[in-house]
Amino acid sequence: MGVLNDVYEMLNTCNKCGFCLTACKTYKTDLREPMSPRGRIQLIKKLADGVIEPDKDYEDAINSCLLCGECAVACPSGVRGNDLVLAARRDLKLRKGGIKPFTKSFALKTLASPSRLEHGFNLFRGVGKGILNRIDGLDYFRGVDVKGMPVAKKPFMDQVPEHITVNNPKKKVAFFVGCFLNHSLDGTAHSVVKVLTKNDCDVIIPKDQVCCGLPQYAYGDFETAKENARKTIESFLKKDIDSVVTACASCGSMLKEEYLKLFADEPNYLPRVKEFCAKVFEFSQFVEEEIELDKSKLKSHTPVKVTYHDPCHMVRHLKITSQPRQVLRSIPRLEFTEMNEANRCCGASGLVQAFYHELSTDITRQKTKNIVDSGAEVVATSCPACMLRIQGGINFAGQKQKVVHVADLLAKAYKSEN
Amino acid sequence: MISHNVLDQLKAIVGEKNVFADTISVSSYSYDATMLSGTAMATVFPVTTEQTVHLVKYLDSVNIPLVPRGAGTNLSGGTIPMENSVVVNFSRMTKILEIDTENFVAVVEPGLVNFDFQVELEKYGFYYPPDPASYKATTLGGNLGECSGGPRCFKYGVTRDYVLGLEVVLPDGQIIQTGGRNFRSEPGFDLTRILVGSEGTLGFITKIFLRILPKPAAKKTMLAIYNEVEDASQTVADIVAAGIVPTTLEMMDNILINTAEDATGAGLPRDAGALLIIEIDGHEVDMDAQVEIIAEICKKARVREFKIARTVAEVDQLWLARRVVIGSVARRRPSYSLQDVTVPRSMFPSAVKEIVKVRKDYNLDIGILAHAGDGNFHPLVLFDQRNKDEVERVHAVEKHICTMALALGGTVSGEHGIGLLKKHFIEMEFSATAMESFKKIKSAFDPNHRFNPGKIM
Repeated sequence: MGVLNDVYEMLNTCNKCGFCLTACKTYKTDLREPMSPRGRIQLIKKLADGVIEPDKDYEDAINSCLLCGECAVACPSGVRGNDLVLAARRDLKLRKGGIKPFTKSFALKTLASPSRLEHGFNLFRGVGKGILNRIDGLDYFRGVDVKGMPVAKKPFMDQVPEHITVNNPKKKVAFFVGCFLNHSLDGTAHSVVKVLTKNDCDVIIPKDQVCCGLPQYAYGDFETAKENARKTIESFLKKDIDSVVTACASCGSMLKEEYLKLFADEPNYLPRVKEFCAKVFEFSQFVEEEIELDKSKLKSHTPVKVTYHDPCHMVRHLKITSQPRQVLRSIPRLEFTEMNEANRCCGASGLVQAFYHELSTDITRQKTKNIVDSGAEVVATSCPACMLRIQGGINFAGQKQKVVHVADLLAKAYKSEN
Repeated sequence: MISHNVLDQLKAIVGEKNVFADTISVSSYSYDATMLSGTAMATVFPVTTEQTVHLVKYLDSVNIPLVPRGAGTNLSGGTIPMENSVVVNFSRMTKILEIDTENFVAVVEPGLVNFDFQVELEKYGFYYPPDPASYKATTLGGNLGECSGGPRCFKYGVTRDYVLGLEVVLPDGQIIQTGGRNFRSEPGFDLTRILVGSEGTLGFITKIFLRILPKPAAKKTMLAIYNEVEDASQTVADIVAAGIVPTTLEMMDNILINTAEDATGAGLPRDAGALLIIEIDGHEVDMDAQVEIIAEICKKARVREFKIARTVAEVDQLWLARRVVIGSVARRRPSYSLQDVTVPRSMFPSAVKEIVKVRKDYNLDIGILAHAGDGNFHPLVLFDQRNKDEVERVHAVEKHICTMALALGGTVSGEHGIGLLKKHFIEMEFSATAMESFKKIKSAFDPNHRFNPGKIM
């Protein structure tokens, strides 16, 4: 298979030293070799060598990977386990001509299409939650806090105009909303807009924006991912803007980094991709690097102890760690405290939480414990998927910490006199 | 293939979720950190001593050999399974049963990872000295099976020196307790010491009584950089001759400095011929005087640069660079052969000279890594497994290095064990009569040769 041939030298570079074992949350939780980076890499190599078949157990090893990237950091020989898993998923997709099982394929197709996605969320808010409310005890479906999961009454993009202007704008910023903020955490989307407008930015929200394509990309469906990537790039580049801001770590890493890899085979289009990628900023990065936060405008509210969770896509992909902490520290009367293992995966990882729920739930439990031990009342983070996952974990454990986005805390610090 | 009946029995003993016999699982336990491989019929994870006893008795009754395993990071092939065997994987027995700081004793299960143990001990102001480079992944049971060492062993000794007692499941399924929590009590034969380093060929360890130490009040970490590897090795001999006992005296040569630097960006000098990482510990008041003496010795041996790590971060960087060495060589070539020979300390410079010569004579990339204070070498011969001619030269070098070590009064293995990889070499080291004694001991414990058969001898 071509895909595995392309990465064969890297597969062969793994000398099985095992340093990655301890870096891997799925291995440390399950303690079986196929759940470790070394195990996955050796299986992919054996498949490439034709020694094993891509059976159900192989797929489980490959699809249970969180793609958190911790193994790549730990590897002394520079083997990037997460990239190899991604190649293996692409290979599986090409071998089978589609993504199995049907539920996974359905979920990914739904995410890729705005109309299907909106329909899905509406159905969930109405009928879905109605049914759940009538089933006693079914608050958590496969470790996901379904009852507690917020659904926007109306998608965020239907609540706001395409152009939100301020007096004397210093910058023109396009907001890449992302599926979660549009359909579930619309409050956070409003927080982002508020912080930007308070800092003299015109905000443009292209109404034809679609899913960034990461969910499809992560399961090897590069065709759909490319389709969505192209739509995204074009819908933003046709606007007259200085920057693109996203408040989702996962979308951020897709928009800023993975697009470049995805289009590496299209040299004619690549310059346009680069032009787009150069404009992309993650929210806290934008606040720290592109605007001067006028701290005198930030009002003190009730004192609160806050800790920060580093989403995988922030810490290991975008490598943004200090900026969100800086933003938090600039908020008056906010006491910042670090939790243990702040930069380790929360267990969400896209569809892993749905398809390997026991594993994922155990990993979330470790995150919840670290949060409780930190003594914080509020957990701030930069990724809506982490927000929902961690809040579910906290509720499940009977704890009362609230999970919010960094943007939510910052927005709250601006008195709402406007 | 394993029969349904056997599989059902295994599941009845350890539970459905602790037995794996599918192709993917079996394939995943066919290797360790060497290039060897072998395929078992199934892998089982006992989680208690009782389950281990039941497993051993049942597999005895159906005449199936057992191969113990922890994290599978060993460098000897000690966990490579044979056909028709069952892998008994202890990595789900991870409990710390007791930490007794008054008596300096901890009681642990064999699957506990060395690093996880250290993290827990740190909370009490204690530590466990044996620290193999792979300590973040290796299990204590595995360390015990191979009698692992580590950089700190120059001053503090190897795993053997920290095992006070054991709970052992014998090949007939009976449980014995050896030693105990007392520092000096092994009346009669010292069974504990026979079991340490026995690679699971005599019994399976289900509980370990370990000696732990309070953390030293102070330590200093130094980096000495040399243009010539021979000058570094002279320094090692001189430090030992001066009667100084650092905790650590590690040497790496130019090839390994570069792969480690690629991996860590720790700021190691890429053009240096060799470097030494020297660490001392003890009381704060003694530190400066010792550092001065060491600096003086280094200077005498034409050190190019002598640095003292000033911050915790600097110390950590140096250690990270040292620990990643073996893993990092794949950046240069995809395969490596790692030796573990040890020579008397005074012979250290002669051994280095010989390895430098071998490198030229056989035209191979050989990185020199050494726990220099112990005279324990890890020459890393780098090659590509797919190149037949190279592979032959590598085997010739392996033999050459072992012969050289024995000629200098050394041994073929310092801390990695024998496993499958060094079986021919151990026969070079011991007389036929001595090997016969090995076999008698094996047969006394395991008359039917069902525990990790084919390993060591």
